Amino acid sequence: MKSKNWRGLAFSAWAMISLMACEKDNNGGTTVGREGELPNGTEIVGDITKNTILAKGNTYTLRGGVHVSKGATLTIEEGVTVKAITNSKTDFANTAYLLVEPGSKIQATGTATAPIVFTSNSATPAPQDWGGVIICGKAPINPQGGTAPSEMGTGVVYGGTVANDNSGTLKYVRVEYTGKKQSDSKEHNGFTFEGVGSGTTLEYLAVYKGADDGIEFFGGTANIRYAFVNGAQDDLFDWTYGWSGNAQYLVGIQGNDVADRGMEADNNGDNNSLSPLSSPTISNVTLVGSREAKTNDNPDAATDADKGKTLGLKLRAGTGGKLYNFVVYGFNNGVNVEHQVTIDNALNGKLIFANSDLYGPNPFKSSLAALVQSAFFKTEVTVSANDKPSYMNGYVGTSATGAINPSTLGAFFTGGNFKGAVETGKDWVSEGTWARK
Amino acid sequence: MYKTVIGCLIFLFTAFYVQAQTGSVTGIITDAQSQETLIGVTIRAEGSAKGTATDVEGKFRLTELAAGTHTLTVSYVGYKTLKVEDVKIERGKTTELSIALQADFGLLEEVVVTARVDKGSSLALINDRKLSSLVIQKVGAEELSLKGIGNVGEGLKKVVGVAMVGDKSLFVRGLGDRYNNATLNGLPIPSTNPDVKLIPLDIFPTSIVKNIEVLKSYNPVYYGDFSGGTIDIVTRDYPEKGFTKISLSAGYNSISTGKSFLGKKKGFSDLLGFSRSGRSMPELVAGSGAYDSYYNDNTDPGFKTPFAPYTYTAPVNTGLSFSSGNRYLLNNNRTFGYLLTVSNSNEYSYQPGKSAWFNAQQDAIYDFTTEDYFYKTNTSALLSLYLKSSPKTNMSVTGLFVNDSRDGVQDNYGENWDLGPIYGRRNTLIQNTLATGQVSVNHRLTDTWTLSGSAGYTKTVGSIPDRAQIMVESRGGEEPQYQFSPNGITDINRFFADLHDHDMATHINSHIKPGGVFNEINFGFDARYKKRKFDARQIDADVKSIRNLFTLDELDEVLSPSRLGVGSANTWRYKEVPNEQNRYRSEMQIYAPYVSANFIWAEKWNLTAGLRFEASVQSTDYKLDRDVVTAPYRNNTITGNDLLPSVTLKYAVTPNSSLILAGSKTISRPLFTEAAPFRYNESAGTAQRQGNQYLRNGSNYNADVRYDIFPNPGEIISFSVFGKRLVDPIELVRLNGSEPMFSYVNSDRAVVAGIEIELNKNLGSLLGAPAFRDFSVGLNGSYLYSQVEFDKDKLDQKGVPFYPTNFKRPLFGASPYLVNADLMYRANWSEKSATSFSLTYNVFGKRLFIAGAQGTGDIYEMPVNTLNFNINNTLSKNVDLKLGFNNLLNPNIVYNQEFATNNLEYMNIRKGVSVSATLSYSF
Repeated sequence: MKSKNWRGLAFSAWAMISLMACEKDNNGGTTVGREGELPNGTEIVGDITKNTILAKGNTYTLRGGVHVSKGATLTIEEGVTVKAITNSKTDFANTAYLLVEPGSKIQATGTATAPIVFTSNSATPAPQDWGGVIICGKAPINPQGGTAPSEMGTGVVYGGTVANDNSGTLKYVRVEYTGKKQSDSKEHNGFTFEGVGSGTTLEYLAVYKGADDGIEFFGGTANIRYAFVNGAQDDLFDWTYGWSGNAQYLVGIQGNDVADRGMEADNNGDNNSLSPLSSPTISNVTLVGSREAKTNDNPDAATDADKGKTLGLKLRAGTGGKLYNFVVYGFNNGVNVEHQVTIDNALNGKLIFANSDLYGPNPFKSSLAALVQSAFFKTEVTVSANDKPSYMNGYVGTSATGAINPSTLGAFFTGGNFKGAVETGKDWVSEGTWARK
Repeated sequence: MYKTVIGCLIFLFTAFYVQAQTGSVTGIITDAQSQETLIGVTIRAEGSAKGTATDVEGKFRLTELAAGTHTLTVSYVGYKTLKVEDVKIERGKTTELSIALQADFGLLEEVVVTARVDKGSSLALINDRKLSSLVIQKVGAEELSLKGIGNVGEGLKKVVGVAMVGDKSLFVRGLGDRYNNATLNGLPIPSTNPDVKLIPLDIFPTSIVKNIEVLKSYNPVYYGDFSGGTIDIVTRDYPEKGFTKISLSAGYNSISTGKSFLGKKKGFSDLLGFSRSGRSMPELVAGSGAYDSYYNDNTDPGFKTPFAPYTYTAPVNTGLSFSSGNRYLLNNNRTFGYLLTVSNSNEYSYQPGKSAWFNAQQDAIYDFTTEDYFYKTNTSALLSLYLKSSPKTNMSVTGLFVNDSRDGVQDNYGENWDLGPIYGRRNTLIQNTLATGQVSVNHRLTDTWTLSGSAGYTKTVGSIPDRAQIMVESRGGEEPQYQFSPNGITDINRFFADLHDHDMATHINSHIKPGGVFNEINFGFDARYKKRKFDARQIDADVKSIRNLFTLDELDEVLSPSRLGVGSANTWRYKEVPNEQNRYRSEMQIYAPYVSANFIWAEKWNLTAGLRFEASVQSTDYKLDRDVVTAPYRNNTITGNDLLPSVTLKYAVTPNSSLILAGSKTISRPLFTEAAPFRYNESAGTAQRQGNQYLRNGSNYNADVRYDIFPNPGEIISFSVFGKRLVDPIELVRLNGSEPMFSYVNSDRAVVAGIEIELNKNLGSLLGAPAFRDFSVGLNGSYLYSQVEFDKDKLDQKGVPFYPTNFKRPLFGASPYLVNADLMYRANWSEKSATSFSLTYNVFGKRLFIAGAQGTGDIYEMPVNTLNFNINNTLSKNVDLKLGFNNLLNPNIVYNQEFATNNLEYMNIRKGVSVSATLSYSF
């Protein structure tokens, strides 16, 4: 009965070696001046359990699932490119992704002109080439018991009671070609925030051509400002499990190939009544839909067997939330409110959609008409069958008519006394190279 | 139901056996030469139905003999049959006899043996039980045959307190798989299903079975991961007389036979159930670490399962079996015997139903119509050789081969709350093969010391080769049209899984009878080594370029390998995402010395006390989904050093009744897959499971009280009460999270308590009416209470996040009541022809199927009533005809999801009425 624990030891040793190897491998011409700094060209594999730096301007590759764990901090400096290795004819690589475990941190601060880019290493990059970036924290989520297993990193548990939990900073970070499946039917989003707390800084996040959702929040209290999702094949933005953060200046654009919903908002599918309630406060959002895109979800008003089913906002499974200053156009359908608990929230003011412009055919499901009359859509919502508001040019354009001053919504909000996210002449998306259009 | 139970209780106390105007005879039987006592000698009183056999001390007792003179026939293998005449029986008195039997050397053709103790007969088994100092119950081949029972799993249902959940999973006294053990002739057999510990017992046809033993109180001679029952399947050995028998059977099912059926087009080997190789992984795929058609020049990889199944008409079910055996008395007092049985049977089954899952608001997450078509086969071969090389030594060699297959198509279609109307179809073959070889030797060293040893090796292969799955969106239309989802990247896939288990076990026992207070001492040693290799691969199809509508029948054209390609419309691509957590390697070693002693310090008292030390190491090498291909395995090892005491006290209240008290401590272990934190697909289902490395062994404290009355040979009335306390019992829970993901945790505690009643009686003597002499009734029932508890404040210490809807609930699969009843009638038409009729009824109380989480209701399987009728005709000396009418009530099998104020149907299926005929010819 010889103990076989040596295998466990062997594994830990292997994880350490893979990192140590990176540290030692500094004869390639790069000067490594700081502790934990990985030289240019390092293949990152295994877990990051010690403070590690990806240095300014360098390019790295990412193989398999890399977890930042055991309280370590991964610092990524401006201009860093991380190329995720996708499997090829000869390289049977499993799905690459980066996950920050609860208690560990990522400090990824790029700039508009030298953003941090996570992309595919393929010569012909395409959605589903790799997973995505996942941050897990200890902020409250609403499944009973208050914790949940990470969708992606087996063995990682997120959620807790630390509302102001700080997982670090993501600023001027772009992910491209994400959305590979992890295992069986689990697919990655571009950015996934699981139980991330309000101490975390999320600004200027861009997603380009991801196969699943663009940005998804699983509970937590994280705030986000300035996000640009271009071409997520499922939902552009998604939340569930009681996300209660603030968001301002969000832009989502559907591609014409495959797309689904502009925003998909749930409280909890298993039990719509759980608390904390999904109740984000969101202002200044522009959602530009595609009426050409193929949709994989339930057709709400099928006009064609293959296309014509995109939807601006799906509010369901008991979600709350206060949604102001939206401009939504270009979708086949506008807004759908589903499930009794969600409708109750709309009736008693926990779910608000106001001060917004909603353009396009089928602005809301006819079953919603009574709800719209009584509570929802009541305040300064313009519903029009026209294709788009005249003031819009792509995602650029705002309207002060009927807008709310977001500063009345909370200290997080700045400026934005208009409907829409990007003012003409102040195109923050086009500043520098951080967002890909 | 409660009334029935109470009724039985009242009956039990009032029907206390009343002594009539009869007397008894007792005696001891010895070998005339050696003076050794003989075990298992048959004694019959001529002209009455009375008979018995000698116990381990060579003693026998025949009761209720009418006062007067009787002739006893005494017979035994290898001895001359003796008729003892003029045995005088006086009212209320016991006559004592001492009989010596002459060994019968040579002269084979002149030997007339009335009967060897046939351990497959109910009479002998009840006698065994009477003599046993354990809480044990046995079902013999005779009963299995009369009741038309086809396999061991079915047969176990006849044992009080035993239930099969989902036809596969065994529950004894409300305790599931983890708490039970299965052995074949005393040696462990590994499961063919990686998700369960116990081998699916329906793969063993009754044709190989001599008897099935269910041990419910712990004895240190057995493995200690026990609390419900240890099931020992004792295979048939050589017969008394040479015989060869051929049987043919045919069966009809009311909702399957003759109906339109879906499946794979079958060749000869498929029909026999050996389809594994017909669906093997194509070389191109097997040779690639991760198969992608784009990187393989879009050549046809050559998968063999079509996406559109073949439609045909279900024929009748058929079966064929052959058995042959003989016994030879050789010179020098040696005996050689053999038995060979080979059988193959098949069944076409169609099960229509519905399936739905609801959230806490009672909104359907999905609501599907289900149609399940499957073709099942079972092939078995048993060869058993026996040699008695001297009066002191015998040995046997047993070889068993079982192949079990289930080849089917499962369709689910309806609404999914997120996806809308969809159609899902899986074309799955599951083939499990088991081959085992066992050798056992029994040697009497001295008059009081016997050594026995056995060793076995089993290889099990479980395969799911090339399971083809489709999930498509319904687009309606008169001829229903479908379309691929534009980003459902795993909707269309092929899945392969292979399990290879090797299991080696040996058991050595030394049996000593020192005499005096030390009636019996057993000590010995068990060693077991088990090794597993599991590999699975899923090859997804990227079909998003195909936007045409199609019908399901057109799928093999739409997904024709000639259209493999990338970039242009209507092309598609096989694309496998490597995932290292689809494989694991495990090992288990158990070493267990034990000692058990039986004391008799006063007449009527008998105490068995024992101790087993079990040292175990369970090790699982696994990888997580994040691990790269070249990463070494991670490992989780659980070691255990457990001391397991047990004690059984038996008190003979009267010569024909006894009281048994038993207590023990046992353990329960997590399975290989349960204790390592990787995620894996259940072998047949969409839900995923994740192991939990924080699991530890649980301990079980068991107590039993049983009162048995043996009114006449072959009759029994029994009453037992039991209680168990489980510490840290391992339970399945649903994890928090949006996908259905399950894991295992040590719950905080559980209690199980119950009452069991058994009655096996001749109706004539029961009613005091000789007219009913040829009727016998059997009735057993149990009432069970079980509760498992989770402490709210300890949830965060369990290693995985979960939150049950109910913190106190019954154990999985534990029915509050179980009732089996049967009525048998035997009519003797002539010397050589007879017919027996048996009517059997079974019902179980509602049992937990899935425990809810996050406020969603628990799901229960609702009570199901089963009624079967069997006719067994002996038409002549050579010809038997059996007719079976099964599932006569054809009930809907309903699963309800329970909410505070109402219940919703989670599942509802039917199985149809089955009729079968088996014709046998012996020569």
